[in-house]
Amino acid sequence: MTTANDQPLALKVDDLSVAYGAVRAVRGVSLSLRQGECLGVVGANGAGKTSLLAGICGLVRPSGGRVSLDDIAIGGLKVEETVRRGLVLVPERRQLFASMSVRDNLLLGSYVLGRERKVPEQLERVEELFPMLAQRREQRAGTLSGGEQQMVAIARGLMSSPRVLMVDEPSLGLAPVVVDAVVDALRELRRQGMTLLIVEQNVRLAMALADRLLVMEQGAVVRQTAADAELDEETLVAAYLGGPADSESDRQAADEEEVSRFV
Amino acid sequence: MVFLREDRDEHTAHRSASGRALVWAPMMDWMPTFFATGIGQLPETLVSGIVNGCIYALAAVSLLVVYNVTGVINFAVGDFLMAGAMLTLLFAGPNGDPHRLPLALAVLLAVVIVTALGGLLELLVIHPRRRYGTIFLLILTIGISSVLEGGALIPTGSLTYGLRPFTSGPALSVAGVLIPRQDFWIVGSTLIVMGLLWYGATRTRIGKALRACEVNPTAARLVGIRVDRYWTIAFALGALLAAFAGAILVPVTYATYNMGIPITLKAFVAWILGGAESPLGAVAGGVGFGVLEAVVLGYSPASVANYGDAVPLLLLIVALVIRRRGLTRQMAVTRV
Ligand SMILES: Nc1ncnc2c1ncn2[C@@H]1O[C@H](COP(=O)(O)OP(=O)(O)OP(=O)(O)O)[C@@H](O)[C@H]1O
Ligand SMILES: [Mg+2]
Repeated sequence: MTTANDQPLALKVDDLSVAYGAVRAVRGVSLSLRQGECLGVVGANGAGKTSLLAGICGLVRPSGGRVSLDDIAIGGLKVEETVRRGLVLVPERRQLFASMSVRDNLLLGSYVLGRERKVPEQLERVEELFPMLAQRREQRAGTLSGGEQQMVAIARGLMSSPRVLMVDEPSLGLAPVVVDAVVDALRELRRQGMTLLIVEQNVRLAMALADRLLVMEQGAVVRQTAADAELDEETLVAAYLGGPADSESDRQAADEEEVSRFV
Repeated sequence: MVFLREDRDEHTAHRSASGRALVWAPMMDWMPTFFATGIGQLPETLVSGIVNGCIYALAAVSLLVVYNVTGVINFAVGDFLMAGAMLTLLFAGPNGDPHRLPLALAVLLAVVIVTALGGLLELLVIHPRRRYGTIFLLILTIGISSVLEGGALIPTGSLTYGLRPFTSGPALSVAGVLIPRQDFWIVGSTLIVMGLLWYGATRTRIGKALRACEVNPTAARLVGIRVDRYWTIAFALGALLAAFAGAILVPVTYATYNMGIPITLKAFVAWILGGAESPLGAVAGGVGFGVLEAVVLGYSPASVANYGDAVPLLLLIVALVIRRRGLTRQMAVTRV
């Protein structure tokens, strides 16, 4: 395996902020990702992980900060454009084209490639990574199981052969056995040299996948560790509960707290 | 065949092969003796309903395409149809004028121009106000409708115009039922257009992207589809379908500057009746409504048929009530 340290930077995020009106969901986050590296981001419900990804790829317009992909500034571009530059987000809750076939979902994943000859090649690649895709080509994506939908979502993201793939909560709502299959696929992707940014609630899963972990709390990065380092209790508590003093892990409560703090 | 406005104006006195008219004639003071006709006319009534239904189906699918992609109810659909009819007339030569352009070319030109107009109006009028919400955008399309009507009124006056059928000759007899030749054109070309639409939506990259915008706009953006552009494409496609309906309709009706709104209403009924969900539903709604309308108007006494234009509105109310109760749930189940 390559040592990530001598690889050039693939993604660099500087002091990024995302706000929804008065709610500041991301507050000055910086991170960088070398080619072939896998970075994990963990944090409690409402910590701002999804908002961070949304701000990086331009799904939401950041309120401040810089983003660059392969040393080219992409901050402020809309997601339709950052996809063309090779930054792809596999969103929270999959967001498949539910009423369309698995194959059409994949083909739409390669939309930015146009009519290039690369498309069949890409199809072959992702079907090799997820053999179930080949058997379910004609099935409507919305009728697949949760795990299968997650695989289609990742495969769709890969169809445009991105430079960096960001995956938001790949394990969300999946049974442990299915999670294993998804993790295996992500590992295989990593082995193939894909640069990955993975957001996870499940800290152990993130540790198993990533080279490095960031812990987010209330919109900011509060800790950064190598994934194989022993995580101290405080870090785990922070990651799961959104702060040592806060024992309320219910999302609703977390959201309300967030809102009341900044409104 | 149903209610035909008797036009005594010399230069507009054109009667089409079928003598059928879709024009709105609210102040009708003349009723054809048709309403005295017995059950023997049923096959002809049904055919006429199906033919009208094809027009409603095209207009309903136009509404559907625009609505599904953008969420905008395009109240100007009937006026795009009118524009298609008027431009076809202009290019082909109305009321037996010496031929100008060959018919096929006239239809093509009319459809191309109206398609471009649809896209252009979206870009100039709808696009800058996309975020204002659907009610505001609906009102904008009502504005577009008025502008198109006004734009047609200036050159055409309030006169009515007719066009020769695409192929001349007597009505053809099919199993003893006399069917005017233009009816074959209308039904046949509607089928072809629907087939092409199906092919485009399921087999082409742009068609799939258009559907992606309608199924999940966020996901569409995530795969790099510029959803904004597909708003323009959806309006252009909607205008194309309506203009084509206008072009094939004009030989069997009289075109007037204000023919659009009643057709918009009927297309709306067809769209809702068909479940407001799938193109197939819109086609079924269109043909179903066409037949229903023909039968109701064909077999009611003149005093009732006088209120012919109330039929679509009544049906609309019924359809909306039914839809509230049942269809939406059905839709939710089949959707996933
Ligand atoms: N569209 C929005 N409008 C307003 N506030 C929002 C919006 N999206 C997120 N937020 C708020 O921003 C904060 C961060 O939300 P975000 O979804 O980024 O958290 P998360 O870490 O991804 O949480 P989870 O683990 O539950 O997915 C929360 O307080 C949330 O309520
Ligand atoms: Mg999230």
